[in-house]
Amino acid sequence: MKSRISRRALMATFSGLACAGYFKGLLRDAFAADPTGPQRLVVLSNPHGCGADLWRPQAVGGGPAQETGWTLDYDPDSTLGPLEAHKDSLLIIEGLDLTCNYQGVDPILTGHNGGNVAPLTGRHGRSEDDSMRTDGPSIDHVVAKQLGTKPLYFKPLGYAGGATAVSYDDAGEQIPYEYDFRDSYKSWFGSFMAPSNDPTAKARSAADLSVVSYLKDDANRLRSRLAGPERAKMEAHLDALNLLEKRLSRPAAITCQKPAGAPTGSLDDETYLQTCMDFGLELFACGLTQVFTLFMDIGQTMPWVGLGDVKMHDDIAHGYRPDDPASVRKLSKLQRWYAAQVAYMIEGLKAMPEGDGTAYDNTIILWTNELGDPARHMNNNLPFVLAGGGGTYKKGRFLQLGYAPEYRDPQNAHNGLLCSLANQFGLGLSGFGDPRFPGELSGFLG
Amino acid sequence: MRQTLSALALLLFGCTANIVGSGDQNGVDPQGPGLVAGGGASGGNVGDPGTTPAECATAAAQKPGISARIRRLTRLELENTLTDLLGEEVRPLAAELEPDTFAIGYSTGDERGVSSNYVDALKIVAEGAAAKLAGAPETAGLGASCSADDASATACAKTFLETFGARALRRPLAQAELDGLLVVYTAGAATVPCGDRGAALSAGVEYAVRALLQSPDFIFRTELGAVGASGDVVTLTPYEVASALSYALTASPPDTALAQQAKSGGLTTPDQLAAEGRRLLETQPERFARQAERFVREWLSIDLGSPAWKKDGKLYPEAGPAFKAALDRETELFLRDWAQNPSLSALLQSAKSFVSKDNAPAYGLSITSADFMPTELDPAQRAGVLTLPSYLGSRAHADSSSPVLRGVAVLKKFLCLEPPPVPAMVPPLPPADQSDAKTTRERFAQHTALAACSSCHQAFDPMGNAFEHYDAIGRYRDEENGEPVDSSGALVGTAGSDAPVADAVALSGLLATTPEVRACVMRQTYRFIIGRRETDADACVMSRYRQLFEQRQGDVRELMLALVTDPSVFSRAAMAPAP
Repeated sequence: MKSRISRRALMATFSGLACAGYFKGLLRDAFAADPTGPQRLVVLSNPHGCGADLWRPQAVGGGPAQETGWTLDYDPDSTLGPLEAHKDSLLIIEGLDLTCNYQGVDPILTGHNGGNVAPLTGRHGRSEDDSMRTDGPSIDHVVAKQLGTKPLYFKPLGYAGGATAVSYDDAGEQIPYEYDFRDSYKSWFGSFMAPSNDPTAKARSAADLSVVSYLKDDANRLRSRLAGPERAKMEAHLDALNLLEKRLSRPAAITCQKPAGAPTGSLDDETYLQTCMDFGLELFACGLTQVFTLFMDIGQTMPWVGLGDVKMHDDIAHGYRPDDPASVRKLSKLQRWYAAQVAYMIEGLKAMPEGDGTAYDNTIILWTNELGDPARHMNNNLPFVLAGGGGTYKKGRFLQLGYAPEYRDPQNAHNGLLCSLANQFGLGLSGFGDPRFPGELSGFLG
Repeated sequence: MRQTLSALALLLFGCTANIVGSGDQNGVDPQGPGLVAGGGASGGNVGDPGTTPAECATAAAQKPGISARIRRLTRLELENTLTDLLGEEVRPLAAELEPDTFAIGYSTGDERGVSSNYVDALKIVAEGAAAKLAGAPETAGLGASCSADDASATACAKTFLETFGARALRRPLAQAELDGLLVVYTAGAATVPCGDRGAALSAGVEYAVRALLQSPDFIFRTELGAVGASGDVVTLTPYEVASALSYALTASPPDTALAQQAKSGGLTTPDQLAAEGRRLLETQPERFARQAERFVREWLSIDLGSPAWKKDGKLYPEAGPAFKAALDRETELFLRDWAQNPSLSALLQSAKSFVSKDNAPAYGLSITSADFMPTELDPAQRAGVLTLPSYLGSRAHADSSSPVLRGVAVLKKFLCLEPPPVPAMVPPLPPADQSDAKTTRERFAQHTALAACSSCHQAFDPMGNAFEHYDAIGRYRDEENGEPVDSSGALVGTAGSDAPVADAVALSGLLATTPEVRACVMRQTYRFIIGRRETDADACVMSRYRQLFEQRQGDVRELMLALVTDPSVFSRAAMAPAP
């Protein structure tokens, strides 16, 4: 079913903007404060873990890869094959563990819940029976605040997919994600007004802003009476109101081609994740957000992967055995399909002209997974891939940190990567998440 | 495929290693009465009525267990609140908001704040609601005489905002609020071109109402005490107490009479509160029924939209959208009917349900009517909520029943116990389609017989096995794959010795009379109504609730009433600064 926003329509949006000169102007304005730094963050996360053997790059001609000069498409089922064309802009990192879920945590807080909470927060869940909450924010939330943008958090499965989420607010509470295009379209484009010099429209805009002004006054009054976590609620409320105000008071010159309607499609479509990505790309094109997290879980049934009538989690992930090449290959085939989706996002960004290059040049994509070891549901040696032209770190590299096959010996806390990433967005942090694992990732900048 | 999945259930359970654990956080004793492991009060034996009154008479025990806080309205609460303000026409608007979250297991948890997305969606809701102002009785005061001149218009707007605003915020407006709303009013009135004073008045009021309905003081209800209050303990205002009462019992704002009691000082004693609570229950039975329904649905995680209800279409072709919608409707009718006399025993033992042609297949009945008729089911096969197909299918896999999921559910939901930790290395399962087992129970038993598994599974499998008469969509069966069903099981995990049961009907009956179950249901109700997990500091009030729940033979409505009319409802501990 090809009901997603057509590629052509998307391109029409972009090219129309480029012709009118809006697009360049829009982005220059939006990022004037830091014209050379990374301007967008895309987080892609998917389930089911990873099989290291077919995931890691190989030297051209075979054999172990060095830091540079490798290939990804060395096997029909190699996981990262679809990213071959983009490999010069990748940073592939092997050997990072969600150490915060293991070290000094008894019993360990791992599995699906640990794999949802920790990857982007660098923190473990609060306790065994409160395991889907933590004590601090996720990287996408932090970067969105830094950029002053309202993030798009999208999870195709919605709440029917369980209470899992990867994005967390400052208090460590899950941020509810969007999952229904109809709602999202209304929410993001509903009050999107074409610029106008009509006095009535101006008066309406002023009245809208007076409403927000009242809301902020009210939030400030309430905040002054609060302390601790209760105060944090009102801080978050004020953050949201400030973003709303910013959008409402945006200069009228900023515009884009508003999509005619909400995207359509269903979870049964092979292209559904791409439809989700198209929606995020449209928001990027319209300057409506700079942070987009997509939880790439579309359920268990994915017949198009070519594995037959099997359940991706129950059969493929659980059926994975490192010493059984057939099971490794199946998992890699599944993950290769996800890699193709990542490639789609990359290509979408590359198709958006921006400045002297494309939007890809100003974006960092973080692609991660809930699990490392699929069958045992352990959060060690998670597959982390960075893509995009944004940021000052050196690209086209394969960083091999060395990993412990057993979760009992986590070696490389992934907090360093989160810290490095945050600092690419100008955060200037000395650590991210769990304070026991400070500092940036060694070798990140290259 | 089918067998693979069934046997994988065990490993799936293993996946969720972090759902396991030993009891609750904060040192609360999962075994029940104690709530106070080591807190000085008697932690003691299951079945013990709990902390003694003497201990609770000490000054320390009088300190409020709950801190001052703000609680965001849930979706149902917002829906009822908007409807009370503006009429039935606005009821559907709340569905625009993101679904509730369940950090404490209930939508009412007090951790709720707002996200950026929530704020944007609330804007859409408020704009939709403000466009339906005609549904508010206060608009009668915005008649033609208001349009005589600008001063009249402003005076009318002010009166409107004072009265409508007091209903919206569930308390009188502060001067700063009224002043701020009049600023919005002026800006809104300016959106109408000069000349049409009546239209300008309407527009101004509409914009001010948009502001009211998005304001933090609307979307959060406060438990903060009077402005400027200080000290270790704050006393809630009568308006806050009134809201605590009405939202707990009806998920709705105070009605006119309750608001009047708050204003006139008639809500200062537990007795006065209880009288008002009983009046609310009598005058708004539908609202209470919906609240009771919400409690049970959230407590037992009955969710037709959950992944568990994506049944294998080849095995269960009947489990399509109409069937699921009918099971959902049946659940609603069953629970709202129960709410008329909501005892724990009725919840667990009633054989009456509501059947139409669409859910009849779950019961093997032939019915042609699309109407849901009260139906007495075979009491040998059905007993209460745990044998509702909607519940049973929520605790099953896509292609099979699950003794594990069903057993764990009883353990967690009715005994308030967590399963023991899964061993760090659950051994890989042999391919299950090579299994020679014919029934689900046999397949599971083959795995749980392994030494590494059996020690954990014995904590819940005996309860889950009792449900083996029900397939993945809750149909009753005597045979599975030609083999007779073995539903023999036992209630385990209580203070007494394990009690054998023949099936789920017997298990339900036993649960209804087990002290640990009543203690657990009391705690579940507490979490739902109070919006947080219990802690050591709650030991004394919990002891009171528990005794009351026993005295009232497990009447959940009486317990809910007690929870919001206890003396503890009037005060809160001062907020702690950020850690």
